[in-house]
Amino acid sequence: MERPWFRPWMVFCAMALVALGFALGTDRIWEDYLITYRSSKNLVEGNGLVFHPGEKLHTFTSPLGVLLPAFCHWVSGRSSDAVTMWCFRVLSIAALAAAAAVAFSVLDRLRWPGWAAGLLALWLVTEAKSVDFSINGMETGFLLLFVALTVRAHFMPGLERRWMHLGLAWAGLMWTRPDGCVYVAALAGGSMAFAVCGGEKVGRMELLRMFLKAGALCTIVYLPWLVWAWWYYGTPVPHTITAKNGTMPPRSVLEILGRWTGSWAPVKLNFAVTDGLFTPSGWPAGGWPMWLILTSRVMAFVGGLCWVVKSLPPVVRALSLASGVMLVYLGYFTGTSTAAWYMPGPGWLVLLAVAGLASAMQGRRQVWLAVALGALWCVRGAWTTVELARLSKVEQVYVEEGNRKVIGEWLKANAQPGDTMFMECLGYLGYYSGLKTLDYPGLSSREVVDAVKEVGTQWHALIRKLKPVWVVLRPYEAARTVEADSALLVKDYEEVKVFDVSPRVERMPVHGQGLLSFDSTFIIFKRRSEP
Amino acid sequence: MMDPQKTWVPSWLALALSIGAAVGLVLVQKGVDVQSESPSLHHGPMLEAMAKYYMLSEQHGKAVDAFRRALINNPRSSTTHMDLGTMLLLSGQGDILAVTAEYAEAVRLDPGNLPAVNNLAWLKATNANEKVRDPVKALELAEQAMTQTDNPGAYRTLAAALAANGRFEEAVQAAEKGLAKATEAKEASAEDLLREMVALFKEKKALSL
Repeated sequence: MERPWFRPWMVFCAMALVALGFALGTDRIWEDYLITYRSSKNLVEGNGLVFHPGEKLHTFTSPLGVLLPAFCHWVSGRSSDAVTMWCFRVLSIAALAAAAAVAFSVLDRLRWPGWAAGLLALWLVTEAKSVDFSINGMETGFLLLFVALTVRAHFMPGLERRWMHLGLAWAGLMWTRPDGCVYVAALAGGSMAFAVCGGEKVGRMELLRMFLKAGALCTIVYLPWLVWAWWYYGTPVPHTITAKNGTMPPRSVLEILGRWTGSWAPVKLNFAVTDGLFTPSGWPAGGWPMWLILTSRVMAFVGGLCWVVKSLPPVVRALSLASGVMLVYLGYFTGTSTAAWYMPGPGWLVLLAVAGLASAMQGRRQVWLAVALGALWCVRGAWTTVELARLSKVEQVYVEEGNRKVIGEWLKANAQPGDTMFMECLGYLGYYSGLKTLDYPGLSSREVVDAVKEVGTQWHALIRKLKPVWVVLRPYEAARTVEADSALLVKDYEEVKVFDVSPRVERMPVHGQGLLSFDSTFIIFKRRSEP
Repeated sequence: MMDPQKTWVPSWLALALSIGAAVGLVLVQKGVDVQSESPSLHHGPMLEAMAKYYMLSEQHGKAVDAFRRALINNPRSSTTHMDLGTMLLLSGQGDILAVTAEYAEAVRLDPGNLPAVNNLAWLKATNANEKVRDPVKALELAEQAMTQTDNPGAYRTLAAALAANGRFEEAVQAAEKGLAKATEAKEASAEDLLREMVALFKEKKALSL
């Protein structure tokens, strides 16, 4: 008896199990979750959807990422932050698991060989960063679900009222992140470029009509949020985007392409996007083996570029082109590294494209090579997931709970009501101190964004302009500030405390020590009283 | 549709991953309990930054401790050895032999580290301690520095090294060149020192600090 739901269901269970294991083992809470959660909690407590009560500022990026924790906090009876987090994790893990099951079922229905679909399932289940960011409070699980649903709406054969599936999936992407529109454009572009829909060639006009209908539906579903945010905050653009853009230098198209390809002669070599695609967060800080980074680069190149191979099925080429477009998009934000939570979506598209490429080997003599390489990628993924879990556990215990949370609580105990604080790492410090934050680049603060426009991005100039009561700096930030303005931190401020857990974490036998080092030491300065 | 006979793929997948997740959890728990014998080298940049902050904010004693810790992590950093030497000198925590040893190590690790070459040459040319003073080596180092820079500090060290070797006329010439450079660069403290050195060398006396 055929049970079409059985295999996707098993993939769902496997994905959920791994994510749950990761969450139980690490109890990881990403810094940015706490930025968003402060607004979620304020909403439930009747202070509005704001970071600082009384200041209507759009200090979060993801509508779902702020509303679902608020819902979880409310539904759990506001009992504790831990209960809220676990409630949100369960939803997020379910979304991630559903995403894997949906992606697998698309391949299943496209009649790709069983081994290729199985490999894809294993690749997704062992994609460390997707697992990590689906349990640590970020919106990644939901993003991946809507990416998978968009892929399904585009390419799954035999779907009735496809435009409706597509429109709802697009709306889901937009509710998850404002840059969900880039996924919409990338996948629609891939579909249009190779005139493919539901696994078959179709006319481009037919596709265009479907996209217009889907776009209209997406607009209807997303519009309430857009209108509300515009009305409530006075602008539809999240302040987080405004703040980040204020510190970002303009970039040329060639430079963006160069950041992806890494080999364009006119620009400096930079493989940050490809190297970071399947590498744990914080990898540029050091501590991960080079083979991990190089294999990520190879996989990204293969997935992002195999659309040029004419003999591949149009669906595979469309997925590959979409992933290539996403890699270029990531390149826009890339310096030496890209924020890790941007990576899982493009990463899954790359894996889908590569699974399609592998399935094209079916019937050839070299099929064993594809299977062997695919199996090796599974081993790589499993190893990375376990090692990332070990790192995450150490980071959570010593760096987050043992240092940044402690600093926040210390500030809460030692600061006066109305005190202000300048720092970069807003999450733990902002949440646990409860202070008025003047963070760089101003995610939670209009004052910092205005100051950047006036005096630039140099921290010593910003501190002189903003005159915060407290300044919390990492050692390299403090050294840089003293170097630029030797009097500021010595005469205008006094060093009041150093929080340093580096002696404890530097002997931990885990990979990715660079990430631990980055946030293991903070120096607290307090403004001296005016004479 | 896929061949239903091939359901082994996801079934085994689920089983394998269940076991994998359980093993992973055990490994994760071990991760927070075990300590390795040596610290990770990846903490080097943070430790050096901490030391640099202390150095720049003139907390010399703390800077010494921080540089020493940074060197445990990255013993091959020429800059850190040099900065440690300077902080030992300024904090009074180390004797002149320890300071000289740090400068010498900095130069050994990176002969192109000009500040370290210059500082070592200055100590060897001017220090009264016989275990440190080495006029011949000082002149060699000072001339090496002069091949890459002509700032007032390099002239000052060259002049001191020439005087230490009894070559007073050349020492006066070098000090006067340095004085001109210092005047041009508006470096008042360097000007004062070089003026004093010119006067001293004209009296055929070498520096002995």
